[in-house]
Amino acid sequence: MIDPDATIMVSVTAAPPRSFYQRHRHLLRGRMAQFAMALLITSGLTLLLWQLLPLIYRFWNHSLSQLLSGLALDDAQRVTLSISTPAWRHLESVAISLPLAAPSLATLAAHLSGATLVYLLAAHLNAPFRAPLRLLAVFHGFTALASLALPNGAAYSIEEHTRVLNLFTQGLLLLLPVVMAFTHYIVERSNERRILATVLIASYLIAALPIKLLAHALLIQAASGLAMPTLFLVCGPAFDILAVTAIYAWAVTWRHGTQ
Amino acid sequence: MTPTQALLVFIALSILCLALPLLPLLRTLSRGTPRPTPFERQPEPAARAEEFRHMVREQFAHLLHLARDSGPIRGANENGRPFIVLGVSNHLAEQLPPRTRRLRSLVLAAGHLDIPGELICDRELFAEGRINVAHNALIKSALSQRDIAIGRRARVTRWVRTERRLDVAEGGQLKGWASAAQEIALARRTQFEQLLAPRIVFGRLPEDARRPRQPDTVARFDPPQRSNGQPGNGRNLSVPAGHTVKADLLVSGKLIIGDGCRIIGDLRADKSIIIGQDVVIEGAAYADGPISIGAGCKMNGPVFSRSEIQLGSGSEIGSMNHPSTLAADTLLISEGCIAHGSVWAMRRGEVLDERNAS
Repeated sequence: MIDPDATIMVSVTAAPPRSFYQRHRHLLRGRMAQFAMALLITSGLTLLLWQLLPLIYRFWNHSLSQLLSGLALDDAQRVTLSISTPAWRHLESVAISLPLAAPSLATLAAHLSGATLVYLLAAHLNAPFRAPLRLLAVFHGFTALASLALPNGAAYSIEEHTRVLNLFTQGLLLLLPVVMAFTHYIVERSNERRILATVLIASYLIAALPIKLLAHALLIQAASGLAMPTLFLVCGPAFDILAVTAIYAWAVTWRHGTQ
Repeated sequence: MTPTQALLVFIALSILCLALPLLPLLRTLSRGTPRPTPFERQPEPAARAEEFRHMVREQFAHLLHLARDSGPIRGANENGRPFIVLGVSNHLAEQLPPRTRRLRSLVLAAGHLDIPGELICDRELFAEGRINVAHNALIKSALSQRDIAIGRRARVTRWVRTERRLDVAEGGQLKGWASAAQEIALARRTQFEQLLAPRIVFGRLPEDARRPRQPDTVARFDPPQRSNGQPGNGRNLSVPAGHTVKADLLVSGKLIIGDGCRIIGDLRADKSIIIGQDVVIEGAAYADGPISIGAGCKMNGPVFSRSEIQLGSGSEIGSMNHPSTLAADTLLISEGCIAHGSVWAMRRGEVLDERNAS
């Protein structure tokens, strides 16, 4: 029988609930060293690329001069500009200047025929390739028609085209360690492999740029200014991103933890 | 070097630059898509289990005997691979440093073996007694002379063999080969690949393990005929509900068997086979497309699909006296099904959780 005046004493035997930090600190503790190392690698590689920029410019200038002289392009010249903003004064952009003739009606007809042919032949391709190729053909047809209405057959010169390509590659190169930190360093790989993957991609971008600029300039000169927008769309920044993705995809398949 | 030669060299250089980042991709594409290995060419996991059993008997029988009397033994074999041998009353958790997440030692136990939760075991496990794998643990292979119990969301990555029962709790995963001398019981949401046992139970069996079967029907089934008196073109065939057919049914299209039918013969369809509820098939079923089997069906022969098999609740494949085979790329099995013999999922096999199904 319970006495109605009795006081029931309640004592808490369970431990007080732990805070969010207490519950997850083991995760933080385990990952802190890796996080710090990834941060160190990212900042170190970015700093290194900034410091190496003068050398990279020298390599680009020298290799472009060699390529232009080797191909005996008398009317071509390398144009190097420095950015006027004081904070970015040490940045340069190299480009190729080539004379560009105004396209004739025959050239326009050739471009439109080519675009039509590609559109029709795309029907024989499999589904994933058919629609993009047709879209590209339509894009090329429209830009060719629009370009003909412009005074010189092109909205901009070869120099501007190659300069933008250069600036995009430079931007990608300087942001590469950060991009890799967000995409590759989160995968469980050794730090040596992380650095190697970043260095491989950066090396490719540095080595391929002069060849890419000259190839663009020669293709535009051969195919007239009507090809410039399509060339920029297909082989411009999109190609840089494709190359980075391809090497990244390879690097991410490297074996890990074989000990 | 002439200008033409220089141009050709430049073009070659450009192509090289273009192809360089794509070389690994081209190498991968040249290898082709890996196809699932045919049954006969797959390395026999049973042989690997037997090899492991032989190795235990040859190399560790004496150590197991010693551990039974003197307690746990740690060591390494001639290849430098570490091992732990536990006695009857030893626990693996006591032998591991605190917060151990990964165990790279071979573990053998003279008694029961309890694998702690969240532990990753990189080497094989052997126990003369029962093996209990706790929740979220990951083990490579296990061999027991008694039962094996796989906990919730625990995973086996290679093979598991028991001389009695294998129980897999909800959300467990059996990658590779699982075999039991008596019975395998899989809870709902379990994933599996290859199962071999005299009796395989999927999910919780209903109170009345078998649905009351309809009395044998004797209605005669006449296949659809054309105007010229010949049977139909054979592309699609549909057997109405409640009929008995004593023949092999071969169609180049879709084959539909109505509810409560009894087919004494084999089924073969180039496309899909749809079997209704409470159907008895006394023969084999083979389809290039998916096979859907309704609830409460009884299939006496093997069932094979190149695509997907869905098995309705309370269905039974084979019998204790006549084990059979259920094989497909994807196997989706409802709760309450029983299979006798082998169950092969080439890509994915899962016991469906139908509690929230509308």
